[in-house]
Amino acid sequence: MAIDSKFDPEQREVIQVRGLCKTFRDFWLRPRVEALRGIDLSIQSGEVYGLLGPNGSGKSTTIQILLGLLFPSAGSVSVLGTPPGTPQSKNRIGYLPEDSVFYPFLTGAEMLDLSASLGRVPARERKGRISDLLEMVGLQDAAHREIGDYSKGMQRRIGIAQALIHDPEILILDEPTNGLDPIGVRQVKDWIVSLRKLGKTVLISSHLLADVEQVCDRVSILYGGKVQASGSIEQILARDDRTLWTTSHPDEAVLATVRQNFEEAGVEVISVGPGSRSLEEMFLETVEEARDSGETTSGAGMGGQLPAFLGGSEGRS
Amino acid sequence: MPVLMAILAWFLMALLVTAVLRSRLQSASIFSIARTLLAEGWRRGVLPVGGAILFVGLALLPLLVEDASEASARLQIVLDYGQLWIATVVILLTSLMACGSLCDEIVTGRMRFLVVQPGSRWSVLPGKWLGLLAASFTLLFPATLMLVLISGQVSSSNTVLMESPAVSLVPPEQLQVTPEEIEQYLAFQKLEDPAGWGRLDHEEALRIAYSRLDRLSRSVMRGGRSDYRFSYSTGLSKGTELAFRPSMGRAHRSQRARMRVHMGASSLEILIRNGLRFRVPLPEALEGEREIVIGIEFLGAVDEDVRIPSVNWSGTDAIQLRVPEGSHLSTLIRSQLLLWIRCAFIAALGLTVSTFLGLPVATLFVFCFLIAAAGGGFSGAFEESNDAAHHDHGQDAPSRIVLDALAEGGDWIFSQLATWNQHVTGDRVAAGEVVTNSEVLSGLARIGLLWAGVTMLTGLWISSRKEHGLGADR
Repeated sequence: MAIDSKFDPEQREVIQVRGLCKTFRDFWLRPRVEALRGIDLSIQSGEVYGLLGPNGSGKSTTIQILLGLLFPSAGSVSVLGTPPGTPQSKNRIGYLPEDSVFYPFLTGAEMLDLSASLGRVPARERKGRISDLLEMVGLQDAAHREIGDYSKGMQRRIGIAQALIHDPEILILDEPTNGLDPIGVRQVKDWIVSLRKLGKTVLISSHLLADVEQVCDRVSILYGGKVQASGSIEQILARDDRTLWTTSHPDEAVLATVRQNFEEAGVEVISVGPGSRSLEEMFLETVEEARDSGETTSGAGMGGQLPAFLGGSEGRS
Repeated sequence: MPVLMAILAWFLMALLVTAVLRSRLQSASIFSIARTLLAEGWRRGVLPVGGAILFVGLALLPLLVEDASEASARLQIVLDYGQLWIATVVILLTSLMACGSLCDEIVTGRMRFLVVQPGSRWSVLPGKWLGLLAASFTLLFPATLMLVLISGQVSSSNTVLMESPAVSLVPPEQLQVTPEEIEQYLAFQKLEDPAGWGRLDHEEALRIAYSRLDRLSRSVMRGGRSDYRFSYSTGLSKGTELAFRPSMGRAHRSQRARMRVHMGASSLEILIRNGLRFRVPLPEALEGEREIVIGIEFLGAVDEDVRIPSVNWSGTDAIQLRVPEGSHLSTLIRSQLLLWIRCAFIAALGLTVSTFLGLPVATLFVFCFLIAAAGGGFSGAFEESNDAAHHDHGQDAPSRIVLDALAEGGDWIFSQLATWNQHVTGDRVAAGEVVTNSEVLSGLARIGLLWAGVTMLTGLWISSRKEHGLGADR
């Protein structure tokens, strides 16, 4: 199945994958696992793209090939017009690994300083960027604590900060909300939306379908090393045989009238029920109230908006 | 007092590490990786614990010399064991950190984070290498300082290493038989005895001629005299001595003999004993000379009923000039520089083998190298055999050519390993011998640049072709 109405041929294609295959071999070069079997992807500038699929479907392998960590067995891959793994492409990609594999003996600030140095951020800008990002991810109070002492969610936050420190054009996030509390999940989703507004391209690999659904423009669903479906969220999820209305709460008489009118028009009413908040919304409100009442925590702080240096690809000199 | 020195040395190491960690060298990723490695070594306890072991070991050195009565003997023992201890601990820690750091990053997946950063695939190994150099320096510098202080404490003066000169040992030219001398001797013998020498194979004749000339050059007959030429390019300095250890064959050690030494215009008659070392100061008139000839006349045994036919010079150090050159301290520093250069190679080797081997095997590999190098490379293990003795009709077969090439390669590797031992100078420093700048430069060029450079390039090549992404979810 291939539904792709949001694909705009006028937009710049930043990631292009054609017939990508990857076979893992053992020490004697015998084929062990055929992880990818002819994948095609086309990701455009400024969109949020989701890679979905169960374990072993090939999501991480695809991402690692895009990053130059793995070499393709067949097919072609182009990232920003260059082969993956070249310094030119790596300089414009920010990557959040699936596992938080950062140096446990470095402090959060030192970790960001290392990332900035490796990302070729000019020395005069580093201090400011580190400070902005620590504030963004809510870790300014834990900046000088060793990462080994961080909670899993805090490590995830520092991972997001290091991925952004060199102001990349493309952000590749492998399970970005893994280990985060609902506040962190909401913040990550907000940041992704903000990054899209700045013209960044975001590629997300995730198992959490609800998260992907809320932020992605287009998705591809992988299974068995192949793309089984791809297209925009709306079109993939759309059902031609159903219509959903959300209204303010009417009284019983109004409901009865509406139901009667539908039946007279030959429209089947499948379900009618009271509206409800999502658990995420309810959780966020509760924590917000606790914060307002002056409760403190040793974990990550509230965090904030994207820092100003993330000017987006349009603003690059 | 030594305990206080150990504590101060530890704090000096801590100060050096902190200075590097807080340095503002932020312009290149290579320095960031180096600093990260140093932070790893410090915060994971390798450097604090390793440093403590190193300095406590040095603090115990004075216990070794409690029985030695002479200050010079105490100094020699402290320098000898001190340098050995420093070399052992620093090389061990360097190899463990080199293998451990990279293997850990590959196993934990941190290497993936490093490799996806712009340009860092090429700066990972050099950065770590630089970090290991810094780490070994933070150990080596305080340890050397502590050794200097302990040397002063156990000897007559606290500034003994600065005041006492190191000596350069100069062998005589005559003891080295040249190929021209062998050919001349052989030609003369063939004229004298054409029947006897003529029937010998040329190789065999050369071997016999060399053996005889060597024996002749190393002996002085009773009543005879041999002249020995010494060359010293920078000129002999004040305090130069002639040192010699005569061997008088089967004569008992208690037997005395007389020898006259001619040095320039002056001559000196001295009593010698079998196998004992003697030193004779050179006259002031010879100071500054670049070439001198010393004549040694053997006058025979003191007791008339004892017959000693000749005196022989056995061993490379049987007769030599001892020329003061620089201070003992400067030679110790040069020796420690050579140790640092060797650490640089060990770091490169550890990092390179860790790119394709796990921690235990990589460490074992480095230790095997150290054992092979310490054995002097078993030089000559693949020496070519004499054609006349072992003529092989199949030597032109392709299989033999391959085997010969492998043997040549093995011979080359073993002879290269011998270079390692040539640059282990701790025992020479302890004995008061000079370690020259040219030796340090030679060590830098061969071990520091050639060996470490080739090893690092190999590591970079392997690393650039290695896949680092083995995600669990694929």
